[in-house]
Amino acid sequence: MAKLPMRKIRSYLRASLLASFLGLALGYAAFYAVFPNVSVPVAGEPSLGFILTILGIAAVVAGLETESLSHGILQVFVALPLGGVVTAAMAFSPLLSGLLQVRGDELVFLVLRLGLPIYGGGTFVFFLGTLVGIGVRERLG
Amino acid sequence: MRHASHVARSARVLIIANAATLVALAVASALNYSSVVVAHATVYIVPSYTLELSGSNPNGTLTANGSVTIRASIKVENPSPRTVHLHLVAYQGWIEDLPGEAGIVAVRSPPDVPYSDTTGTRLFYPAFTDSREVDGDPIPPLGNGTVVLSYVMTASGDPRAFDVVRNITDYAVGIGGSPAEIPWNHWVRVQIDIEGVPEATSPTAAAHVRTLRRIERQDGVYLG
Repeated sequence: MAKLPMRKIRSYLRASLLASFLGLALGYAAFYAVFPNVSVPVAGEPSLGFILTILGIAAVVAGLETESLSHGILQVFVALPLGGVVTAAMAFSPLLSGLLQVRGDELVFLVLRLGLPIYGGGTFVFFLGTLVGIGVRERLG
Repeated sequence: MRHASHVARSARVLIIANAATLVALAVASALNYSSVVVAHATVYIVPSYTLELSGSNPNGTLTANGSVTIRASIKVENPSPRTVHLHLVAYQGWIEDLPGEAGIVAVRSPPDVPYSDTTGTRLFYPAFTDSREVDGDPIPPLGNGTVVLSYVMTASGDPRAFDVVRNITDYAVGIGGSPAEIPWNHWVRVQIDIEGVPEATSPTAAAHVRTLRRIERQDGVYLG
């Protein structure tokens, strides 16, 4: 009886870690889409191919470790706000040097608003990639 | 069973490697972005101007074949961690219209611009305006660089403005002063590019992406 909650806790902990991983990919991709010319790698325009690669690889790799489909769905939804937090943190990074030329709320609004297509499209890619990852694991495992 | 655990281990390795790459990219991007913001906030200019009258009479008045050379020396101080370079300079000069203020000359073309400060209202004549692209040396982080630009005003180049400047300098000499003592108002606006920040090529690129590359600074009072 005592083993079940522990197992559940572990599985939710794993889902949280995978959601954080997906959030990191999503946050970075959104920042790259909003500020392509100051991101690494730098580019004059954001590359859709690069964004899809980042999100796709993260989703498939996360899918390999995802316990079940329901966990996969949960991970994707938890990754969305985490992605927003990562993007906002990157946008606020100049604060570490004591400089921020625009108002904080405007900056957060800018990166989240301009990053919306990435959050939307990223959700779809994450679902698809997680399914692929789960499928690959089922087949290989 | 062994195969399953091998897949799980490989998946974990992949996740760790992928996460490390993403963290590295995110941190590098944040640092890159921060350095650009620092450059935007800290780069400043220190302009200085010199005026040289050549072809003047013994009493100091300008001859019809003379010239007025305005030298704008624009020093760019770069305390940021980015290399920058001066891209575009626009500068404009107004000379105080002493005969106009004395009521000797009523109308100028283009008209004088009134400028009020604590000493009262004075009239300035828009003597010259110039803008040009500059291909200066890159200014390294924590360094500085200076660009000197010259504008030569002659009767053949800009007869109307030259005549007015000549008239003003004649008046200054006439009242016992010297052309060098006539107040000028200079204004300069520069565009400084941050190296390593690519220019957005698409016409649909967001405004903030286009402005990140370029720092704009101005100095002096723009009289219009």
